[in-house]
Amino acid sequence: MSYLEEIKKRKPFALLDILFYGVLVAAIIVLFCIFVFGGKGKEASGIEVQVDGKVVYTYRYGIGGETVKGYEYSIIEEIDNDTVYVTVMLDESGKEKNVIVIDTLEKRVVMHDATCSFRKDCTHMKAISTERDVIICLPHKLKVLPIGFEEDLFHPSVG
Amino acid sequence: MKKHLKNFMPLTLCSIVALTSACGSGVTLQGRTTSRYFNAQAIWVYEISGQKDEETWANLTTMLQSVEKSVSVSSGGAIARFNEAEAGEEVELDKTAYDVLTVAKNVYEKTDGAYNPAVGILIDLWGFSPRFSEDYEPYYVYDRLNPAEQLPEEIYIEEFLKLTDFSEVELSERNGKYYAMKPDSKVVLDGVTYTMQLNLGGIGKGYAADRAEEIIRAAGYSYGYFNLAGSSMSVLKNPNGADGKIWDIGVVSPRGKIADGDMLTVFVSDLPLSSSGDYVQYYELDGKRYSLIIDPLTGYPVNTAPTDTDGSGIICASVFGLPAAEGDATTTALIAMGKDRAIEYIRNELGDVLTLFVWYNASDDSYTLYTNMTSDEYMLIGEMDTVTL
Repeated sequence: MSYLEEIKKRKPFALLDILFYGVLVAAIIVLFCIFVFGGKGKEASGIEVQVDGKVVYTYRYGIGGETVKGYEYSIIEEIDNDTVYVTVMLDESGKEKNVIVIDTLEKRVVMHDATCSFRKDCTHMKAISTERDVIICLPHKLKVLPIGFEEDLFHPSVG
Repeated sequence: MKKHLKNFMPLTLCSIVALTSACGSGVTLQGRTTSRYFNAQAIWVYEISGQKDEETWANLTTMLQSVEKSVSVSSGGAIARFNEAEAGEEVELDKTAYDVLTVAKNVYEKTDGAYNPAVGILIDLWGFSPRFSEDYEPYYVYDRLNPAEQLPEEIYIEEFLKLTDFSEVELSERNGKYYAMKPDSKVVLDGVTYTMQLNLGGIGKGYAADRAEEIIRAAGYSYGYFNLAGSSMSVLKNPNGADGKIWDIGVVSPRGKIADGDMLTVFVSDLPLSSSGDYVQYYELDGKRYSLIIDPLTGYPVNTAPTDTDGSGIICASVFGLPAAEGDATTTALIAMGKDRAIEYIRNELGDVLTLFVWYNASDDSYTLYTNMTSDEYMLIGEMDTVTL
């Protein structure tokens, strides 16, 4: 065998070897990314408003809002450009209410105002932007949940 | 290829085993929640184990009900009876209330009064007692029609401060029963006599989280966590985490300017977590935030006293590694201490306990994270300067 042929025989990897280990490395990188970066919540596609466990209103980004039949008297929806104001009236006098503001551009929902207590604790809660966020007004038994909400028990928070 | 496969087969097999083990450890987690106790959500995440899951959950909810009744100011339990008692009267306690008050005493003394559960009357004055949550109507002479629009009268703050000397509360045990002697101090304003009022909101949930951990571990669970109100947590192992045990726990941002969600993530397992801050129960008036956390020295919510010239101060604190009851009280104390004293306390008293607080500088509207954690123990998500203690 010539010297050149010897060198060729000693080549560390053939094409198949490179492909095999390349696939292995790619798989490791993909799994790494899933486990390390995959913890963030998925963007919410909309919200639903529940009062005392019953859904009274839903809003889907790109589609709009819908009041559940039977609750038309208690939901007032006002649209101002890219912002939707949803007032949920909780009694006939109109004294008890919550005002939810939906930023349809940023896809972000906050509790803007409420008559639950002078402190309005629900207005201090984190905005809803992912499928894991929730706003609760305990005195009014009102919840604002992202559509498709599933309590993410496996990414806990304190504070 | 054949030669290389033979040489690299052990490495290849190890990689495959490592990859597939990351996809599952054989432990499946499940969660249960309830919002019936402490006016907050309790979450228990655990490894599915069969029949004992139901029994353990029943034990947990029974415990929560019992602790809440004991430490609540409005349930007819031990602390409520103490508050209703006359000055100088001895009140019989249940063991839970006695244990919680014992922890409270320890932290009160360690922090030189920065944590003080005897500010209950001030908490009520400022509008943060449970009676302010629903259907509030002014009842006491000092009540305002809308506390968020009018501050309490200065005379009440000054006089009520005289009722907050927790060192005067004497705890005792006799013949298997427990007692607390209510101090003889009282003030009379507008013909009404006021006495010391305890509020264990800053420690009661932590105590419940500690008891929950005992129940869970006694039942044989090694994985999961118990989270009460998001402020008191007992963490076990995470089967899907790093090293088969590490949880990534988010710490909620106290201000939207820092982060819209969690401000940082800590990487921990098998320890309790406690967190307090001024961003859950508060109202704002004339640019100041009046929160539930009362400064025992001034009688004002932290960072709002006339002596707090510009509103700068600690706005939240977390500790990881103290029993949750002690941790809850300690985080409250850190916020009340102010920055310099808190730094000294962390360095001298907390040692290896992982601690953080966020300080707000009103002069330039900026936030700074102070922590003794190393960079591999947490990951900052929000935007703020960091000082390592």
